[in-house]
Amino acid sequence: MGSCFNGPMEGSASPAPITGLLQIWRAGDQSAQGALFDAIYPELRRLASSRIRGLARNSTIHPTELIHEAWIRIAKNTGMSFENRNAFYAATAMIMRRVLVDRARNRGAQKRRDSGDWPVESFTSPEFDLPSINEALEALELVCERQARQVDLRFFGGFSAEEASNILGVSTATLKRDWLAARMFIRHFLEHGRT
Amino acid sequence: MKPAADWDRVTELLEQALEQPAEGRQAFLDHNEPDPAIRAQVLKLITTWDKDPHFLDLNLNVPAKAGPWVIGREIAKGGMGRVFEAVHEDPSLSRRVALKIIGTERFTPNLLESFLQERAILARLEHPAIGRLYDTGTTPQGLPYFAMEFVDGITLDKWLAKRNPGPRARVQLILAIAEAVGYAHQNFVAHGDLKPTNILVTPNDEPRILDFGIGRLLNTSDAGHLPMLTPSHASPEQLAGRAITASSDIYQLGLLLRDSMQARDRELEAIVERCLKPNPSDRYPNVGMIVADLRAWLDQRPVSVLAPTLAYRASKWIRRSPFGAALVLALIAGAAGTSWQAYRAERQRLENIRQFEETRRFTRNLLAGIDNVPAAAQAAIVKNTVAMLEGLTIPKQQNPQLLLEAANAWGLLGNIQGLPSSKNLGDTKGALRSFEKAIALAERARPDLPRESIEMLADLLGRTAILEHHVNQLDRVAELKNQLQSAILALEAFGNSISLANAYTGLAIVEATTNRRAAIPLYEKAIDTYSQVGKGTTQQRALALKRLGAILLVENRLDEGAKRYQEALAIERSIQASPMNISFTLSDLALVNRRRKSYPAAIALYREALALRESAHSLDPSDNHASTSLASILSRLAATLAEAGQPEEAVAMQRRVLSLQQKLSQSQPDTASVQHTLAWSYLNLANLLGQLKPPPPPAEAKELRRQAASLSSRFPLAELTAELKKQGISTP
Repeated sequence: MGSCFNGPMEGSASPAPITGLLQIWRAGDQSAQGALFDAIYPELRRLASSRIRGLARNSTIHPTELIHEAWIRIAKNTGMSFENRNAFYAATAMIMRRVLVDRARNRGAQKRRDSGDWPVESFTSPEFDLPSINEALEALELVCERQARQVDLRFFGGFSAEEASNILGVSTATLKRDWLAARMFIRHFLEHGRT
Repeated sequence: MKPAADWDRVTELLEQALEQPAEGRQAFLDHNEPDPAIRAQVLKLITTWDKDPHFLDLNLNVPAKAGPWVIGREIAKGGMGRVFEAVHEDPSLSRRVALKIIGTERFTPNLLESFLQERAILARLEHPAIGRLYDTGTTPQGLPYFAMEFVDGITLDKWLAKRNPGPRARVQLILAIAEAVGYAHQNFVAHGDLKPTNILVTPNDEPRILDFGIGRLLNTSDAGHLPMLTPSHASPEQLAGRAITASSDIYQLGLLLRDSMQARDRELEAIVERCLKPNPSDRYPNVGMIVADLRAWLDQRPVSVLAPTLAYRASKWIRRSPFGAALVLALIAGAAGTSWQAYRAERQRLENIRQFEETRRFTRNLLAGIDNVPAAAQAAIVKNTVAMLEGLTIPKQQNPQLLLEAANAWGLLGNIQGLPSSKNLGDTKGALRSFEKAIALAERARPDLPRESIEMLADLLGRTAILEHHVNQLDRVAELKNQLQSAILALEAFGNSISLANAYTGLAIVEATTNRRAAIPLYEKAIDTYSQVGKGTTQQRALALKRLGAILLVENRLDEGAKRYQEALAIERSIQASPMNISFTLSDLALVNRRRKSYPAAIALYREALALRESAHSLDPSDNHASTSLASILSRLAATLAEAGQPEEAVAMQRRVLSLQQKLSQSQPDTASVQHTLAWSYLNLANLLGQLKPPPPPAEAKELRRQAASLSSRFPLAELTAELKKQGISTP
């Protein structure tokens, strides 16, 4: 990573870019979201990564709190409207996944519980292989993005079922049905791969 | 991969089928779904659910305590629930237990009651080979739990594999198990689920049977529910849904004995055979007789079941045994496989070149049209293509042109398998494998065809890097980036070409994933190169310009960003890109202008985008997507107008937003996010009204806020409540 990135994120004199970035991203349009999102991705990733890394071992901070906190801070500083809040939550949960999967890869078999009741951590039993789950989720994304987003939100973002139903804009019944199908899709994928 | 509608159907059927009794699910699917492919999908998921219904189930929260037990680490997870280590809350008792929490919706209140009645009987079972049941009850969530003796040991199957005991030790262990089962039967308790994972063996080689009576309790379920048994270890009558009896345990003891046997042994086989009789009345009448026969075997006395026609019985057993059947199948399969391979090798040897040409045509034609075929067929095509390409062996002296053709075919295949930016089958691993093969082939062609192979390599390396980034293999991305850089150096020597420009773009995209600023000069080089090459590069150039524009916008280099977006827009207009696409570019460019406070320009651009979306909306006013897009651009325009000091028009725009959101909300009355957006639209309009000069009477704003508050009470949301409070409205 280039040295030019050490400044803004680590709180140098530069203006806090993440705020501006998210504002731009929010204001940008759906299709442009691809290009714009790519453009702000390095920062979002670093933000998530540094926050997760910074958690104390016995910290009970929940990822939902992190996401809410980021949102509130950004909304406050920029007067960001509600419109893109859900997209922001969904995107952040997805980034959480990427960071966690990356971390799981890097530390290999080494396991530790460091974030309280965070489902990801409490599920870190030997048969729980985050990189494989990530792969399954990517496959699910192509079959049904809505379901993949729910897994991101609840499993990686730590959102409750009710919150996820609000963020995704689906009814509780759909959410429940999707949750079952998504879990079984991933389980089947882990065992049989792509079929 | 699959049309979303199909998957929605699978999702719906899965839920409904699982509400049916197990034996009725197949019929339910047959009756309700005509498409066999969808039925097969659902069945696969049902099979998965049978195995592991709680996979990833966050609803199955682990309580901190169950009854007096303080729950610790998780020991095991199975289909029926999860097992935790737990200690008694009273430290003076210093009692450690294995706490099994049954996590199943099938545990009905009726069942719970019979379970509570019988637990007293279970708790009375005291035998050295039976894990004691100390306590049962329900967790705070109402799930039943069992606190069992904590046994320091390994499961029977692991013990057999790890300790690899001799034949006598094996029989001694089964004997000890059988004795314990006999004891339980005398107390009128059958196990019902004797299987290797329910039997732990201590470091002293003593067995402890777990879950005694639990299987039975769970299986006396009310009619219509699948008994929670283990299919591979269930007796025929259990599979038929009849109650568990002592005879079921005898059957399962037979399986345990059979699976513990190392070498063929006629007498033990005879004992197994008698245990496994399909009809319970043909089996041993009680466990005591098995115990007697196992003792006789250990003492080298004749066993009761040994009949004169032993050879006949044994041969019959082998034929009936699943092992025998499996062996025959394996032999048949092996023979077929061998001759197929020989056939293929021969064919290849003779027709290598011709087959190669076929492959080329095959991949080109099929892969080009793959978008239009159904998902299942796509997967099959890819599978066949992989098999064909795998079957190709290109000799060393092979024409290098053919090597590049094969590389190209693998590359195309990889795109379809998993390149994120295009329509793909989501098979990232497969795609990476294909790209790897393509790269290796292109490398081989490099000495003879340096330019063509490097062009192809650069392209492949870029795509591989993006894919590796997608799966977070960042080390690999760095490595590929280096390779791509050297490929670019080599390409630059050949002068400008589309390939070089594409390679710059590829490297820029890879760079941007970690270091956005480093991507800027690369995009500039790419755009420059596209311009110099000219013909046939406009679309790629427009895309690179937009990507660069986005980065410059993010970097707050607004004037430069605006310039790039303007160029992209000019190109898109000249090639008559789709109106929606142009409206997106317009909206981005408007945003750049809004940020640099060039309000007239921003407003003009938003208006142009608005006109395009208006026409899309008027084509089909019932299209929610078009309405949402229209509302979105209107609200951006309204915000910009207000910022530019034109509140009157902003209010007019926001009124349209509100009316569009109201329609959207009527068509999706239960969707919380749509209702929330409507609530915000009310509030935004109320706020804009406050900016008018002179201010209008407050009645309307008040009414709007009331509407927002009413929505907020029906669809609660913390931020909405906070905003309302800020505006002096308390929600009911």
